[in-house]
Amino acid sequence: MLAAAFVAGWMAAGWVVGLDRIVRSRFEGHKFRVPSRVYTAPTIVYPGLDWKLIDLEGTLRRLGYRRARATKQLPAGQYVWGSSRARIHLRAFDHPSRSEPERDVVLRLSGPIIEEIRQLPSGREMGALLLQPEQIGAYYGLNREQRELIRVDAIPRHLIDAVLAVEDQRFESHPGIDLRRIAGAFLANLRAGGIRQGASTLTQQLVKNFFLTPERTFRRKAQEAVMALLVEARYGKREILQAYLNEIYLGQRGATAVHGVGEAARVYFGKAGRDLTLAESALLAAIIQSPNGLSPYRDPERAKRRRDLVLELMRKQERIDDAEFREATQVPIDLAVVTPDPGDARYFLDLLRRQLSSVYDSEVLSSEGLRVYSTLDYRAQQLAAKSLREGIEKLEKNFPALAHEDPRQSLQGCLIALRPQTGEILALVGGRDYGVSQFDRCTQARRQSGSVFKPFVYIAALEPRGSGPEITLASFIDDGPLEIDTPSGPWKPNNFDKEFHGRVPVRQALERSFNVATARLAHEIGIPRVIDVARRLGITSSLPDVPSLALGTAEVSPMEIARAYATIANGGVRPELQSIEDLVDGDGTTLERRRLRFERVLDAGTAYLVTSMLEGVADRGTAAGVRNTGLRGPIAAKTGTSDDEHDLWFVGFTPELVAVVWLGFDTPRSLGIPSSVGAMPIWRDFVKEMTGGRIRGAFLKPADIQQVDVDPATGALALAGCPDRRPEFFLEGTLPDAICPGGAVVGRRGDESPRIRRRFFDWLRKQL
Amino acid sequence: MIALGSLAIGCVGMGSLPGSDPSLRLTDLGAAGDPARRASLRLCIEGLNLDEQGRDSAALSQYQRAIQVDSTNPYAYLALARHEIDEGDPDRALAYVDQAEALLDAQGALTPGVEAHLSGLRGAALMAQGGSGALHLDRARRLDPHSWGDGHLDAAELR
Repeated sequence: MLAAAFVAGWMAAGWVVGLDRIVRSRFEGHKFRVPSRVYTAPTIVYPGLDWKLIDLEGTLRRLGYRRARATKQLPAGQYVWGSSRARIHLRAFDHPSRSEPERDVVLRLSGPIIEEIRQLPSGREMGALLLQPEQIGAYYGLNREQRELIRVDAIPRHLIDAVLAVEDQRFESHPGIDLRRIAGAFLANLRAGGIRQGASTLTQQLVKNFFLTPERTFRRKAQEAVMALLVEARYGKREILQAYLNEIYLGQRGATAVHGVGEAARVYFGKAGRDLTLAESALLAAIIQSPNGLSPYRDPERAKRRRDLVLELMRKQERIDDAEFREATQVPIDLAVVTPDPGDARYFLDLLRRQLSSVYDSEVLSSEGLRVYSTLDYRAQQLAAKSLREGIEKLEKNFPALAHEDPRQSLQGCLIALRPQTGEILALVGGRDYGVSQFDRCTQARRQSGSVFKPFVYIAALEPRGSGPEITLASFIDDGPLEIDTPSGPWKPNNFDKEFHGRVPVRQALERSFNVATARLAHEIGIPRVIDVARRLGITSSLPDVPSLALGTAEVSPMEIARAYATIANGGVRPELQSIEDLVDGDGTTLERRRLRFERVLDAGTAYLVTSMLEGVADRGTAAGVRNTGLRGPIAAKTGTSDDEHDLWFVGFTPELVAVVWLGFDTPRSLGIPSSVGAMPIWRDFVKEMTGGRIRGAFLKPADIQQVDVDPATGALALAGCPDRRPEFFLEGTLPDAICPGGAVVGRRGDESPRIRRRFFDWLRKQL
Repeated sequence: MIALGSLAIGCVGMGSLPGSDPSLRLTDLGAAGDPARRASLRLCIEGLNLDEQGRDSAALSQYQRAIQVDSTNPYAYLALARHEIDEGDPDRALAYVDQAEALLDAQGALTPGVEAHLSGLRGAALMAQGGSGALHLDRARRLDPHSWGDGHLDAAELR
């Protein structure tokens, strides 16, 4: 007997030692999986801004702000909105470069315009306000656990009290198991004839979640109890509580599981855990027992009753007083708005993941809780996705031949928007439905660029070289029949309308996208020069040295086209594309900080000349319909349709925005419509929504560009007596030699005979 | 008459005498431009305040926000160029100077005051790269001896 007891004792001791080893290795080695989150750029609000255009109230709601009635005491996270005045009590938020403090501000409104912003109570005028960045996604692990770690000293006392009141009122005094509770539960269950009451302490619940699989056997319960005792012996109450409050499961948000009070505070109330009120804390504590069954979204009444029960327990346990109890029970259930999809940012998230993967692998991204502050503009992304989706649907409705039953074979598209001065990606929509196809057509597809490639030919011809540029904007070029010998036989390009147009002004050749004139020009200046221009502007795809390159037969991505046109829009300075502003680790340490990079690759004068030509495309040429819905302000654009209409492109820019739209089938086939019908309306709708129809700024003329009048019929300088004239722009020193009246037609430079009067007027014009 | 007219035109074309224009201060520009430009300038000024306090990271953030509000604001790039010189990154500083100059040129805002800062910042960046920036710095000193007398532009001097 003694020997048997001795052996049993040894076995028990061995078992306990084994459990202790598990506790130590897992508790100390345990790492909460915290997915890395991606945020947009912050919204900036300033006097003069149209608050309706940027949907300021919608932004506040998405950030978890509650609209309140006018009141003297406005808590943080609430706002009041009147017809002439709005008051917002901004919450403090962390940001890698500069944390923003809590601020109570008043906006004086005049219709949709913010006239003035003042801080309360000082009345100090503010030039700009930053709203915190919005989360647009996260990189999850296999378990898809969503978690926001929070330290126990940042957790409000009333949240801790609420949890302890309902789940483990003697937590602070028991050794890991609560014998009184076990006895009480045993009796209650005996009376009920079944399991009605649990007896697990917080420590036991933690052990169950941390270490053990969810079995319900006596052996498992015994293990759980012993491990709980071991945990309490080794670790302090604060450590245990912190682990519990960061581990506890608190419901679902779509396909992701919400773990921990930090994440729950964000999901349910749109705020940080430290900002939870008593009523909100009680609600979270209330749903621990059955987060989905007691979900306040699903059954708010039931959730409220359970919350009030928690408050009652807190009062009985003297954790709150009567006044606090009364006040908290009167608070209605007020949950955060379920954040709407910002327009399928998942293509953008994939792009970021690809960019980050060179340094941070999937395991790190899905578990280390990095915070990625991106360049994405929430509103731009939303509008881009909407414009693309609705535009494609409208096309399928108007042109039923474009529709396809199988969504995997349906018409596809891409829209990418950049800030040209900085290369920041503001919106990226790589397809019409990420759920159907995750292939990102903005960055991963290579398609024939068609006529959107043509500006590169004109840049090559307009650029100043040792002997001067090949052409000026007053030049005429030949759109007559052309035959070029190639290794595969003669190449005879044709125009879209199958007509030849004779000698045409350079402007018209691009405005009306004449193929033959452009191909002839490219052939005369040499395809290598065109390739050189394309490379400098940012095209990195393969560009074969063949005559048809001039008409866009090379396959490039919409992203490359966007960057090239951004370089033109930015006066010849090529920006490096940016998708990330800051990257921060789980402790808040900045890992990477974005720095803008750019390089001058084209002289400003040539960039301006091409911009002017592209403005002509939008005003008079193939993109003339871009203003049909009332868009006002400077627009430069180019349409593009590839061979056999397999690809429709529309590229357009304003002084502050470049956007590219591409449409096509993944397996190329003809769309049967031009890009002015297919792609242009999508671009137009997007930009109109972004700007409210009024485009800010101007395409600014560099100092070395001269503006003079020329004769439209000949391109000669129009002096007094010339029957007709139009203004035209020239690089310094490239004014036409010919003058009107009486001059020759302006062709390529070097074709004209010098006249002494021309030299005098050149000098005179420079002095003016 | 033609000769006199030409002479008059030539004198106009020469521009102001060096140093006669006041230094460029961003606070003097505060009321200029549309709301986006004004907001952007205020963010630049806040950034310069933060730079003066030694809060480099926060200052950089303000300049980036200034560009976010108005990406065509040349003074934001000027402030960034100054900041990057102080941070010891002359390559970036030069890029920002180029961007600022391109925008200032296109906006017709190349006054002697701003030319002083462009020259000075370019000179300082070139010197930091180990190159020859002396001529640029000398030009800056002549155009704006108050700001560039010591060969450096403080945040307060730009603000």
